[in-house]
Amino acid sequence: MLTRRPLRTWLLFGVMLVLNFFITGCWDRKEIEDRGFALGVGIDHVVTTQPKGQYDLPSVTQEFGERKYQVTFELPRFRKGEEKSGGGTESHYIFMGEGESMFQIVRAISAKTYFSLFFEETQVLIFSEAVAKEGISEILDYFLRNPGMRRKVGLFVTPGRAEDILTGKLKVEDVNSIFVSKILKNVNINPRFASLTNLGDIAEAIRGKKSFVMAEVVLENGEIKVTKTAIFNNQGKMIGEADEQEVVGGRLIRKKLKEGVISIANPANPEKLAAFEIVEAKTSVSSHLEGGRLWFTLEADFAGNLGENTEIDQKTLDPTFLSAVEEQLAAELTREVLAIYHKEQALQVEVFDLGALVRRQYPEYWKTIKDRWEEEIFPTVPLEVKIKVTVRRTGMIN
Amino acid sequence: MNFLPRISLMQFFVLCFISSFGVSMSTLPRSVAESAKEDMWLAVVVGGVAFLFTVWAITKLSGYFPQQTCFEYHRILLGSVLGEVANVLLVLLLITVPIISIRSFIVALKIYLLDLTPLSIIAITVLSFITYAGQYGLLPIIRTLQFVFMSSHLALLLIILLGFLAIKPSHYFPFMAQGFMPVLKGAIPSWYSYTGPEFIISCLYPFITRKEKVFKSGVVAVIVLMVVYTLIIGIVQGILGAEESAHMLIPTVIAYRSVEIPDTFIERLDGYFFSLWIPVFAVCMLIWVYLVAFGMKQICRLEYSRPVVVLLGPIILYFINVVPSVQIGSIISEWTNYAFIVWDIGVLPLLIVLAWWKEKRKNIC
Repeated sequence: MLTRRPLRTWLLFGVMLVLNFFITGCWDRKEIEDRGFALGVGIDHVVTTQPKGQYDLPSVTQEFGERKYQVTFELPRFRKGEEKSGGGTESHYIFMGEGESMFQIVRAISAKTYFSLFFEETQVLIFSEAVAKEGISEILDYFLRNPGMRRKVGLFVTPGRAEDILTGKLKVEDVNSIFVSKILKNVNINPRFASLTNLGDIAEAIRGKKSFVMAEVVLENGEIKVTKTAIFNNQGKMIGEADEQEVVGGRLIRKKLKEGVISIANPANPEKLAAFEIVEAKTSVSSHLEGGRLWFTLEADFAGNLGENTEIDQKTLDPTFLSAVEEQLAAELTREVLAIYHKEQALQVEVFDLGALVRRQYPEYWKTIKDRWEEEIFPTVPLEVKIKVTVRRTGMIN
Repeated sequence: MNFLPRISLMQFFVLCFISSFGVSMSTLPRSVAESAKEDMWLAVVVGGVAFLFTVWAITKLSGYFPQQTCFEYHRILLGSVLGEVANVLLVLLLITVPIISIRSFIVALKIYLLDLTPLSIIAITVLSFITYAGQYGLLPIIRTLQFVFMSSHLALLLIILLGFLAIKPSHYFPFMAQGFMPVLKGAIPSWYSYTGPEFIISCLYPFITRKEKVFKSGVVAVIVLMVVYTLIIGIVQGILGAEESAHMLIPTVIAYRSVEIPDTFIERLDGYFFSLWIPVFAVCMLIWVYLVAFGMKQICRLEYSRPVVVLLGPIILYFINVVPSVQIGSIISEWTNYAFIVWDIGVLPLLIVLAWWKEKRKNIC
């Protein structure tokens, strides 16, 4: 007969034995190759609603909704250690679905693969210009609700079709989406480079009924370039774009111009150029209200180096020359600032957060104008620009 | 042998802190942002300052009965029938905390970490730990709390501070643009986040070694909580903004999922956040379940709370599954918050007056 003590020992042993069956693996275990890492998502309009092939595989069956969007997913192709890739299409898989519900399109991909799409590592979300012009707020709803999606995902617009950015063959050996997101690391080096706007920023703007901008991305001859800026109104519809010089002005107003190279005509010989590298930047933007009149002031102080001067006989340390360079640079930056400012006034959109500035500085006044801010008030508010440039060094030669 | 546990001031501080710091930090930014907007962080400070009154009130009340728990002095002050009713109501109030909190926690865990695991399995795991750790009385619980406090709470605080890397200063302005009323409204939902120390004091006061320092230690615990909550709310506000925080189901988790430190071994914070939040939450619930068991033991006049702790597991599990959705859970949570406010600033002062009156009569006689 078992005594009390051994019985408890046997029971404990039994429990531990049974536990072995339950704790040998994780309930949520999923092998990496079973995860469909959707690194890039491209959203276009459907080109034709005619069946594509006998079984019309891209079509997504929906209880409600049209065959409106073509959504392209770029997934990495995992290779064995010894395999080498030639880049482009050899680095990725492409899946597509056509429908209106993003959720159903995503789930429909599961009928074509053995894995389900996984958005934790998504790098970019690209909209075609046509889709952007129609509005992106409704499309983003799914991605904002999806718990797997991160708010740091970069959002882009492309003038052509978004699928081309994801499916095109690159000169470099990389997955297209990763390559696009990596380019953005250089955002501070190049001032003509549109600042990154991510899903969180756009969601905040849409929720706050504010206008916003999004970087444009293009692919041509195997090269990808992030360029220009798409301008969206407070309805989430693209209504214009800023060129690369206007991007510099826009970044200056948003205090995001920290580094970069600006070129001007050489003051001594207008046929030659001088290029200035921004090393230090201090920018402040203020709003002023007096007697019901509102205006903004922008004061910026840039210091840096004269990095290039193609008038080779010029003595670059000559104070007259340097002050002429400084004045010309200040004038050029002022022109770029006012160009984008006036463009946005004409478009009746305000993406510089100047409304938020007024709200912070004059909250009572803001309450009286907030509903008319973009359409009525902002287009009439002047901006005073005071830019000072200091050339600190002229490189290794005089 | 059944001996009385002795709680040092440091252990009392740890008990107070851990009892408050569980699940509410994940949803608090939403509740305060809805009312206080850009002043949401200030609402949490105001809520904490107001809560100090409760700490004073309960210390004062317990001071009248230094050798009795609240379940005992309720009977003395209100009479045996009314006192027992108050005890039952208090136990019901206390048990709603683990039910609502475990429900909210397991939903968050399922959404962001264990998407394939059924809710009930996560709940059973949490409750199994609580049942195991809670059945041997107060001292093993305190030892567990001390260990988790040193290992997990402090590490979680470090992770919380890393959130500063992703804030936008513009999200904090304008300051007090709507006046003070929205801040006061925001302070109401923040009350629930501080709830805990008053029940630690009322239930465990007889076991605390240096009773004259209880108020001071309680105040320190609430101030530390206030600082931590203000940091969390401030960081979430800085990352998401007030408008976005008010729209998020679990804003703290979403905010910390947005923090990335590229090219470092940490990279993303959310994994660390979750792995530390699990023990932090589990020990918080351990205290609440123990308090419920302690209350039931006193009501039923049992010698040990062990069978009650074992019994509570299935009961809590049942009620967790009764809540049909997160929305209903939020509504219940809101009403529980009001119930706690009524208890803290309505019932407690009334009991103090009664105790003072009884004391006065005793002195006259």
